Order: sequence, then C-alpha cells, then structure tokens
Amino acid sequence: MKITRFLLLLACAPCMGQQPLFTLLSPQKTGIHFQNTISESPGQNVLAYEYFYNGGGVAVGDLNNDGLPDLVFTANMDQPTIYFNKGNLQFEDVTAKTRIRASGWKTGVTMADVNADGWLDIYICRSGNGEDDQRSNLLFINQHDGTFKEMAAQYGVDDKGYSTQAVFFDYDNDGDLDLFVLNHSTKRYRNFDVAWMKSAYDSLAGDKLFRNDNGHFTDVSRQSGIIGNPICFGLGVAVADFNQDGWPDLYVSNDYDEDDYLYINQHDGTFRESIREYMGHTSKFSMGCDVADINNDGISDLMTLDMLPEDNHRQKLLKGPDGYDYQQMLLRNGYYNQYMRNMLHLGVKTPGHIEFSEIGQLAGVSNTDWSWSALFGDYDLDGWPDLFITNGYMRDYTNLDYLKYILPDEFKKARAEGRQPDLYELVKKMPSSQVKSYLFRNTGSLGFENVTQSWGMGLSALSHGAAYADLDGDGDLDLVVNNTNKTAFVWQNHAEDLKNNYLKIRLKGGPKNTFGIGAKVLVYASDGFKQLQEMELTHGFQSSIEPCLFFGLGKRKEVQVRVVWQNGKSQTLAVGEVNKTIWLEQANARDTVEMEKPGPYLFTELSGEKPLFTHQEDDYNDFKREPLLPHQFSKYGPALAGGDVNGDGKTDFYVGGAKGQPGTLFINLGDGHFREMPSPAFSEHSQYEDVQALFADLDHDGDLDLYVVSGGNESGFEDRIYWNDGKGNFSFIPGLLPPTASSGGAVAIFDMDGDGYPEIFRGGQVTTGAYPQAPSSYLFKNDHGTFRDITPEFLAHIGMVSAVAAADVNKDGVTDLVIAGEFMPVTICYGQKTAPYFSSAATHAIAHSAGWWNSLQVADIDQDGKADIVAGNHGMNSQMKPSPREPLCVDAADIDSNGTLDAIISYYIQGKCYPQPARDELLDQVPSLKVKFPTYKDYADATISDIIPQAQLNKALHLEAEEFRSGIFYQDAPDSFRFRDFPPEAQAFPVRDFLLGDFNHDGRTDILLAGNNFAVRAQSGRYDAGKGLLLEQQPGRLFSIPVNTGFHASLDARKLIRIDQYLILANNNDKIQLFHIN
Amino acid sequence: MIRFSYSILISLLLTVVLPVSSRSQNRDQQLTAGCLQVLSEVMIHDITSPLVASRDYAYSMIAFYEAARYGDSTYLSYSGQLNGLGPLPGPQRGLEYDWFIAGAAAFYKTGYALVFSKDLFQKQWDSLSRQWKDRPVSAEVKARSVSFGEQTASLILAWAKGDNYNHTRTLARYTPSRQEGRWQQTPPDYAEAIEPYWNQIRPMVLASPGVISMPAPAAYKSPRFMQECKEVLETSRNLSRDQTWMANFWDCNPFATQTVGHLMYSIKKISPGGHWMGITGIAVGKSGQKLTGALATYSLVSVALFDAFIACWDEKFKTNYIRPVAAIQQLMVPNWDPQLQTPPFPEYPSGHSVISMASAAVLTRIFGDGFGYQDTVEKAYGVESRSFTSFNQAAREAAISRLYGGIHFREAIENGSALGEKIGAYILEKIRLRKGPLR
Repeated sequence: MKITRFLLLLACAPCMGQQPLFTLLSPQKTGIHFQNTISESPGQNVLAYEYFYNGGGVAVGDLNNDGLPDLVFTANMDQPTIYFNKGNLQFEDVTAKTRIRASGWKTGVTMADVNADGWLDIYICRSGNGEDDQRSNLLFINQHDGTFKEMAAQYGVDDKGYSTQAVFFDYDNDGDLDLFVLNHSTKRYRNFDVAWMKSAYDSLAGDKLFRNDNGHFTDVSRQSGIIGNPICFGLGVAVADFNQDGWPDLYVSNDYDEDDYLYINQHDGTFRESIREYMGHTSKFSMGCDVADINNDGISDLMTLDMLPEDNHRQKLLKGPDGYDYQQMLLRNGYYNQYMRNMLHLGVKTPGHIEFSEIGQLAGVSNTDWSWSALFGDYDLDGWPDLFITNGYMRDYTNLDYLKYILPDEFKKARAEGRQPDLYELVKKMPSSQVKSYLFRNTGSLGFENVTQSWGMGLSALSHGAAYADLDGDGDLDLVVNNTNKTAFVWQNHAEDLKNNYLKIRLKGGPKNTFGIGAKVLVYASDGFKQLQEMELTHGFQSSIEPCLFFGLGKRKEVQVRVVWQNGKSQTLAVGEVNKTIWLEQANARDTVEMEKPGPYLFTELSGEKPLFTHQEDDYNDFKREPLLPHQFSKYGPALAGGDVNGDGKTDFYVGGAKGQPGTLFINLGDGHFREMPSPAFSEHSQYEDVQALFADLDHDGDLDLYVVSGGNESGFEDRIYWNDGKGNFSFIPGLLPPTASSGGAVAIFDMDGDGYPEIFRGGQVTTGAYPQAPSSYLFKNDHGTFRDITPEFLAHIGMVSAVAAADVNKDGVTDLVIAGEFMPVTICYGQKTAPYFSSAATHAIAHSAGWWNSLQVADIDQDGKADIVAGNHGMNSQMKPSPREPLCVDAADIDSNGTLDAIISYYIQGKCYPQPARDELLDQVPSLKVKFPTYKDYADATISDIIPQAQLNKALHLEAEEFRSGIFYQDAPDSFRFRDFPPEAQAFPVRDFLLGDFNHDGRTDILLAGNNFAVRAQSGRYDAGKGLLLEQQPGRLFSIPVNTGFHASLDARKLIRIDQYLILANNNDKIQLFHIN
Repeated sequence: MIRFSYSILISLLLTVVLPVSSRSQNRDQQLTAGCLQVLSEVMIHDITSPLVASRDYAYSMIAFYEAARYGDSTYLSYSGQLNGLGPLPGPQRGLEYDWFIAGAAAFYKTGYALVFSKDLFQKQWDSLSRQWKDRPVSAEVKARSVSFGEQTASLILAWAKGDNYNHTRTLARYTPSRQEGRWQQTPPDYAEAIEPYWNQIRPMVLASPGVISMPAPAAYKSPRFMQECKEVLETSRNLSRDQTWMANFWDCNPFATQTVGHLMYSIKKISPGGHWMGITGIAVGKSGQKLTGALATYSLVSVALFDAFIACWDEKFKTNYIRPVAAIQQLMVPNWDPQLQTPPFPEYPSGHSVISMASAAVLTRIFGDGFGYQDTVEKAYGVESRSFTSFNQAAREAAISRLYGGIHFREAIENGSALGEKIGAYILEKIRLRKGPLR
C-alpha cells in the first residue's frame, strides 16, 4: 500500500508551471526590512561570548486577534521587531506602538497565551556576556490593544540564566501552561571527573522548569529532575509525547560533550532523563531540533541538527583524527554515544516501549553543514512532512588549518613585527560560511530528496531562527527566516499550484490552556493514510510557530480527524470538506482514550533477568594496528549453532566465546529451559574467538559433531572439530583437520559425493594486518572422519568471505556453494559430483552484486520452483552508498615501503570519488604523506591518485563494492538472477543474520532480520538502527512490515537461529536473547 | 676501525687548511645559527614532536660537523664512536674547500630529507643561503665543497635509516592502561600518547635505552604519592610571579591548544630540545667559538638530547605513570587546572629535567661551570628573557619549572635530573671529538 502510494506521488512532479514552489518576497512588497545586525567590537565578540554568532529567532502568531498571523523577530544586539500582518503579504512594523523594548543580548522567542485570556503573549530569552539584569528573560503580556507590558518578574519567569529558548507546555497535566527554559553554559569544562561535572549545579547554565501555580510560576527545576550542570549547552528543545503515554516529554539538544537529554514524564511532577533507554546515539554538537511523524505511522519522530558538511572539501577541512580512544574514554566516564551529524530518530514500537531508530543517513538528511533550524512541514501538501533546514556561520573557524597553521603563523608574524598578537583582529578577518538552506522533500519511503534548487531556495545566507506560517491564508506553509547581517527571508509557498488538498486545524483548549497546547491530532483516511501532529509552539531554533496544525492531504477529499486532549478526552469526526480551517474544542471531546493494548505478539521474549550466556569481548582494538579499517573484525562473534546433541528430540545449542572465553553447550530441557553442559574440551580452547559453528555428523556415526570456526583479528585461527559420544559429551582429537591459518568468517558442511561423510567449506574473513587482501579459504574433503585440504586454487583466495550457503541452486542434484563477503560479489560455485567438486569455470559471480555481505540463505521465496538467494548486506544507513555507477573502492599498496599495506577506502561524495580518511588519519597510517599534504587545504580535494603514485596505483590491490542494500536475488531462469531490495526499513542497519519461516501463519515465507554493528570507527559511529524487523511477504513479491512483532533485537546482533519453537539471538559483547515463537 | 681512523688521519694531514680571519669565523658561526634557526622554524610550523625534533637536530648537526670539521685538524670524527656509524668520506687531498659551505650543504641535505614541510624549508633556506653567495672562493671550490657536503649527508642519512625510526611508524598505536594510577589521556585535548616506541630507536652513545637505571616513582595513592599531589596543588595555588614566569619560560610545548567555543587555536613554542640548541647558540656566540668548535658543541649537545630522550621515553612507557592533572582531579580537587597544558605522554620521569641536565653537562664541560648568559630563546614566543649564572642553574630551573607548571611531580623532576646528569657524563666519557680538551 505504502509503496504504491509512493510511486503515485513520484509521478506528480513537485513543481508545475514555471514558478518554483517557493519565491522570495522582496522587503518592498512585504514591508519586512528586519535583519539581525551583528557588529563585532573589542568588547563584544566571540571571544567574550562564545555564542556570539548563533543568530536570532522568529515567532509567529496572531497578536491582535484579527485572524492573520503576525511576526516577531529577535535581534541579538538590536531591539526585537514586531510586524502586524495586514493581509496580502503586507506587514507593518508596529514595534514602537507595541512598547516592546529589550536591551541586552536577545536569543529565542516564543509565543503562548500565558495568562489564558485568549491573547498570545511573547516570551523573549536573553543571554550574552552582560550583567545579570541584562540577561533576565522577558515576558510581554498582551494588553489587547496592540500594546504589551513586560511582566516577567511579576509572573516569576525572569530567569537570569544564559537562555537560548523557552517552551510553554502543561507538564503536570493540571490544565495550565508551565514553562521550560533552555539555558547554556558560557565556560567549557574538560575534566576527568565527569561525575562531578554532571552532578555540579550552575543556576545560570542549567535548564529550568517553572510550574504554573494559579498564574504565578515557581522554579521547580531541582525537585523535578531537570539537569542543571555547568556542562549544559542547550541549543534545541522539543516537546512531544515521545513514549505515547499521554504525558508530554522533553527533548533537549546539548552542544559539545554533554549528552542530549530525553526527559520522560513520570506523571508525578518529575521527569527522568532516559536517553539511553530510547536512543542508540545522538548528535554530538546538537543544535536545533524538531518533531514530526515523518513516516506517517502515528508515532512522533525527532530530528536533531549538527555541523557535518555535505561536500568533501569542507569535511576534510574540519575533520581531525578519528579519536577512537578519546571516544571510548568519554563513554567510560559516563557520556553517551554522540557523533557529529544530523540525526533522524524514527520512533519504532518495541514490546512495551517506543525506541528510536536513527536513520538520518539512510534518509539523506545527515549532512547539512553548520545547521540551526529544523522545521518539518508538509510544504507541498502531499501528505508527507518535508524538511527545511537553515544554516551558516559568521566566522568559519572550524577549518583545522586555522588551529594548526594559520593562526599560529599570524601570531608569529605579529611577534616578529614587535606587536602583541590580537586574536580578535584575526577572527574578524575570517570569512563567513554562507551555505544555502536545505529543503528536503519527503519521498514517503524513509527518504528525503534535496529540492533546495528545484523548489527555488538556492540563496546563501547566515540563516538561523525560522518559522513556517500560512501568511497569506491560502493553506500552504510560507517560511520566514531570520538572517544575520541580511534582510529576513519571507518565502511565499505556491503549493496551491499543485492542487493538493489541505486541512488547517485550530484548537480551543481548556480555560487555562486556550490554544490546546499538548493536544494530539491524528488525521487518517480510508486508503490507510494517517499522520500524527502534536500542538506545540516552540519549533526549530529559537523560534515558534502559530497555534495551528497544518495537514497536507494530497488528493484526498475525505478524512477522519481524531483529537486527543491532554486531559485524556478525545473526539473523532469525519471531515468531508477539505481546504479549510476547522476548529476543535476540548469541551466537545467526550470519549475517553484507552491506552492501546500491546500485542498479541508473534514472538515473546523470555530472556529474563539472568541471561543464559553473556558474550564478553576482550579489549583488543583492531584500529591500533590498522587505523584505516572501516570496522573491527575482532568483534564478529559469537558463534551460534543448534542441534540435538543427545538424541532426545529437542534441539540444543552451542554459543561460542570471545577470545579468552570458552564456548558453552546448552541442553534443551523443554519449555524454554536450558541447562549448561560443562565441557572440558571447550574450556581448553578459550583462546579462540569463535565466530561460526555448525552441528553435523562428520564421522557418520549417527550423532551430531560440532565444527567451530576461529576468527577475530589477533591470532589463533585454527578451526576445531568436537566429536560427540552420542550423549552430548564432546571431545577434541588433534590432527584430524588440517590447520586453518586465516581468520575465519563462514562455514558450510555438505556431502558432495554422497558417501555419508560430509565435506567442509570454510571461508576466510580477513587477512590480519593486511586488509583487504583475500585470506585463505578452505575446502576439506572428508575421508571417513579425517580431513584433507583439496581447495582448488580459485577458491583459496576468493575474497573476504563472511557468508556461505550450501544448496542445490540449479537443481541438478549436486550441492552448490553461494559465497559472499566484504568487497565480494554474490558468487555461486556450481558443484560437481567428484573432487575437486568446484571449478572456476563453473563459478558465477552475479553482476553488480559486490557488497559488504554478512549473511546468505538459499530458498524458493517466490514459490516458482527455482531457488532464490536471500542476502543480508551492510545497508544504506551510512555515508557510503555505493552503486554500479558510484562504487565504493579500496586501494591497497605499501605507499611508504615500510612493509605494511596501506588500504584506503574511497567513496563518492556529490558525484566524485574521494578518500575516506581525514588528513590526520591518513598521516597516521602513512606519515611521509605529510610532505605531500602539509595543510588540510592541500588534502581537501585529494583523490586516491594524489595519495598513491600512479605507478603504485596500477599495481595496487583494487576492490569495489556496488551494492549495499540487503534483498533477494530471484532466480528467474537458470543462473539468471534479478535483485530486489528489501524495503527501506530493512536498509537502515547491517543485516547480520536472518531466519526464514512462516511466522505470521499466512502460508508464505517471512524473513526475520537482525543486525547492527557497534565495532566501527569513532567518527562513523555505531550502526544501531536495527531493532529487529519482520518482513512479511505479500502477493506480488512485495514486503510489508508489521508493527511490533515482539521480536526485539536492538543490541549488536550477530546470529539468529531457530530451536524448535524458540529463537536464540546472539549479540556481540552482550547477553544472548531467547524468544518464544507464538 | 683502526685502519679507518688512520686513513682519516692521513687525509686530514694532507688537506690544505686555509687560514681564515677571525671575523669571517665569527660570521660562519652566525650563519650556522641561522641554519639551525631554519630547521627549528620548520619543525615548529609542522608541530614536530620533541622526540622527532631531537632526531632531526642530531642527524643534521652531525652531518654539518662531519662535513666541516676538516677546517680544524684537531677535531675528530664521530664515526666509530656513535652506534652504527661507520666510515665517512674524507675530502680530496690537495684541493681547496670552503668548510662552511661543505657543512651547510650536508646540513641542508640532511635537514631537507628529515623535515615534513619541504617547500617551507626550501624557501627559508634560499633566503638564508643568499648570505653566503659572496664568499671569496671560486665557483669550483664552492661546487666541490657542496658536493663533499652532500656526499657526507648521504652517508649520514643512510646511517639514520638504520635507527628503527621507520619501523616504529608501523607499530600498533598505543593503548592506555586502564589500571588506576596509570597514564590516561589528559585534558583539554585528550590527545593520544606520542611515540610509545621511542625506546626502540637506536641510541647514539648509550649501550641501551635503559642502561642507566633509576628508582621507581611512588606507588599510586601511597602517602608519598598523596604528599606529592598535595605539593603540586599547593604550589599551583601560591605561584609567585617569578614561578609563573619560569613555568612559561620553560613550557616549550610545541602545540598547546586554546578553545573558545568552537573556535580553537594553538600556541606553538620551540621544543625543549630546540630551546637547548638555542642556548647552545647563545653560548657559542658569547664564547666566540670558531666554526669547527661551534659545530662540535652543537652536535654534541644534539647527541646528548637524542640519547636523553630515548632513555627518558624508555622509562616513561615502562612506568606509565599518571599525570598530576589526572590524579588531582580524581583524588582531590575536581576542577583543578594546571598552569601549563599537560603534554600527551606519561609523567615519569620529567623529560625536560632529563634533557636539560644532559645538555647542561655537555655545555659545562665545554664552556666551564659559572658560564653566565642571558637566555633570549623564548622571546620569539612571547616570553621575556631570563639570566643564568651557569648551565646547571638553568637546567635545574627548567626541571623545577615543571612543578610550577603543574605537569610533573617532584620525584619525576629530581630523579629525572639525576638521570640527565648521568647521561651527560656517560656521553662525555665515551665521545672524544678533539685531540685535547673540547672548548
């Protein structure tokens, strides 16, 4: 359903006629001449106050109750400016008449009906390096006659902290509006004692919560669980019911080291900061944020902004060393996983919970440079929230050349000329980074398309606060942007040309919350469309929107509207006439909302408090030896295999240990109970990193023996066979298996010649210390229980093998091998009945299938009688998104002839292939390249041929990957495969393993996916968007994704097996999980 | 070896040594200081670590000396005296050379090969070398001298290649220990430890990096340790103006970062070794040493620095000791910050103490105890000059300044100073650069 709609939407071009979606209105037309003028002086500059360049905000709302949205702009140094909307997109500057005056350094602005008289009031935040009384926040109470009276002190909201923005909301659900003030520190702490810093209190830096007690506000920050430490650098705040329990929660973006906060409302006047329970990671230098239901599933999603540039050149100028150790230290000291890029957190239902799956890179919105406002709005009214992002910075000093060379050289020059170096003068000379704002169209499939140009937004400026509003009353969202040192932008939206329908919804709330803040409105339609919006005014950065909800409907003419007020009452009504404003009143809501009952689930987790087994990695860090590796191969375990080892009819399982930890056999006692079976043979082999295991009857005596693959990236790669005595007692006999010398990645056991003694293929994963050289893979012939290495030459170094499946792909009665891995195509080795069984002539690599494959299975998915190949890949939630036209490459050569292989990955950024390593990372691997790249600028446009001399490059080992999507290779005709990728939800994480089975009992094969990868480079950040996913097969070879199946795989999942009516999920460096299949 | 020395002696005797006026000798000495300055400046620009800097200085200055030392037949070669250094070429008998030009050419070639920013080095060299364009020697002599210098440099570079430096670039990056009391990455940058394998670099004189043993530092959290923490803390809270000045004067941090929000910049200073090479220049200038003597002094100080750093780093990564900033923040005062930025490597012993005492030992032997001078080296980095009555006084001040700077405990300073003194004596005992006393 969703996909057909998506295709339909693609057909209607976003812009019709000559006119782009947005046109910029001139100040002459609008009368809006406001600009946020920043003038630096020796006492007023970024050295005196570090948020000097953060810009101003915009608030929209009908201040004079004439039905038209009016505007308030804050200027940091000048007076705020108020414009009344006179209609026809004309505005009058009424600042003087309003009597609104504000000295000091103004930041955010928000509107709310604070005194519940039906008229919007204005709250302005202040910060800066001035005196306390120049910094207290201001509340301008609407006097109903076009004038306002400043009454912050009377109301008790004159907070003297360094404020960024505020939000009015009813946190204690008592019907009136409370206030949260977002503050920031002015001093940076870098300290060992993180616990001390986190527990210290700074009333000027810490965020504040004010409870409304009958019209007077009381500071309840400390008793309500609000963090107020001196390392808070709040730049963004959003209110939403993130966990859907009916109470408003808070998200706070913090700049720098301090974690972002997700405050979950505890229903008792307190919040609990719970980011770790809800999100796998966050932005690092978190800035503005926004909430919207971006995938129309009725769950609010969250976007946070950061500062990662889109283009290679700027990325290379600002990226220093990877900083893996530093990041590990921050984590050990109590900080959370944070990476420098925008994050799009998609709300996902898991049993009893909502979790956020971060898909910013998959969605294509992760890199928008130094960004401020994120504003989700359905700008083309097609029913999918689009995204507007402002950015720019007045002094572009993130350039590392400034840090290391330019400024020190200037200092030196000054001293040589007998002057004292003047940093302020130098900063003043730095250029601005004027970057275009970004406008993204929601494609409806977890994707956003950059439409900045095509929708007419291609203007560069230093843009900060922004708000959308229907300024001209035509139903679409116009945009107002506060620029630094440039006239504010007023963008008129021409979505009316697209002939899409809309619905504007205004709310009349309770007596003390006149605009119904906190109400949730769900609009849905018979075609399955549904979209959630929550009424909150503070959005984006330092800005607020008018109290109105805007729903784009596409071509729909009839919808259902359901409102849930914060008092728990709801009302549902059918709307048969669209393109208008409807009013909903809390007084009319009589239904009582019942919490949705979870389930019934397809799977029930039984892991319990005490896990059966916990995999424990050693401290080994692959990046110490090979700093340019994309991920750590030493963390590919645990191995996991199931089999009935004692012949009691119940399937038992073996889980492998990491290096230094023995593997363990669990005997199935039935009813979900397992007993650990001690085995000296396993204990004696704890030095191996077990990465794969399989049970098979290797000596043809009727019981299951165990083959264990040794992997990792350190040493000790000999695989082991453990022989079963028929009762589940395993013993090891040396000398029966030729020693395997490479780190293993995959194993398959299959009887080629039908003698009852199965053969073994064992794939090598990686060459330790020499990535990406193909490691040794092995084919062992089984001579009645002893094994002989008969590996054909073509197979011995077939690639970095991560997955293998043995099956009769061509239905000729002989087993074939399907092999795939890192930088490897999906390769089918067609088998022959006699040794050597496989030949290069009978081997076929599927064209354009080279990827970073993790898992494979052969099955007839479409029931057409031919075997298909299901394959788990790296996924697309990454900076790297290779395709046949833009492959991911690795070139490996010993550039500096020092005896180590220098492997450099490159990938396409904006149509051109650039090396992945930042300059410092490259110089760490090849110090002599410092001669070639003495500055960051010298390296900023370098390609692989600038790094590896042509003569060396010609001889270098060169591998490519063209496909990162997971999916199915359907066999349409013998040896002819057609790739069909999984839906986007399944591309958000590396699919490490999966199970095929009819889990939903509809008679068709489903695919149950698990995966992630936490052992990656510090700057790329953990792949943790995987939460466990079921793909249900629909007729026509499409898949749908049921919500909340009960399968919850949010750890660093590696292996998934089925044991009778149970699932076992093995996670790296974590507990194993047990599920019942219902 | 004996045969080799004999042949050198013969060639020495047969070489025409031209009489040179003392004025031009003085000028040669200034130009030598200029050469050193070029090398220092490029290394500062490149943020070369103190260790790599000591290596660049040593090989360049040895090359300079070896190609120029024939100007005074009383001076002897390092060959056969430094670990792994074999025979070096002698000049052609009976032919005229300009020894400064020969030495400068050797220095240039060696330095150019070792530094990173070659363009910058070249640019600065071009502007410096204009100053000896007008030397009163024929083009032929110049060419011959340059060629001899380059020949010497080639052999020095070949020798340098065997010191294991390249191999240490390929080793696994350092992983800090998680044991308490061990070194951890320090604020504000939490940079990774530099040169954890520097003890694998071949020393020039020392038989092995750890040949001179030293006592272990106080056990973590022991009463003595706590006392040392307290001393650093109390000292930092009661710093006199003079102590602050000393701390800054001997800071010698090649890369101290400063942060204002997202604005980061750095203060670069000359490395500790560079500072002592500068002091050497001051002493050479003041004493009026002639070219060969000056080069002997420079090179011998650079050899002492080179070995002192190796011995020091050997101990640093063996003891892997915690820095005051980490200990004091965790055990005593969470928001304590030292006066100086803590450099990124383990604490024990204090590198500046070791290398300062070793350098002072060499300089004292050459110029005598009680050689007073004004140290102007740090002026270019914004710190006022200081006066000293002897090299040892300066070295002791450099050592204790690390306590004032809050980056070392007293034990690291005192035991480090003792180690430095012993290294100086060891080197002076093993190396003979002149028939008769060095001066």
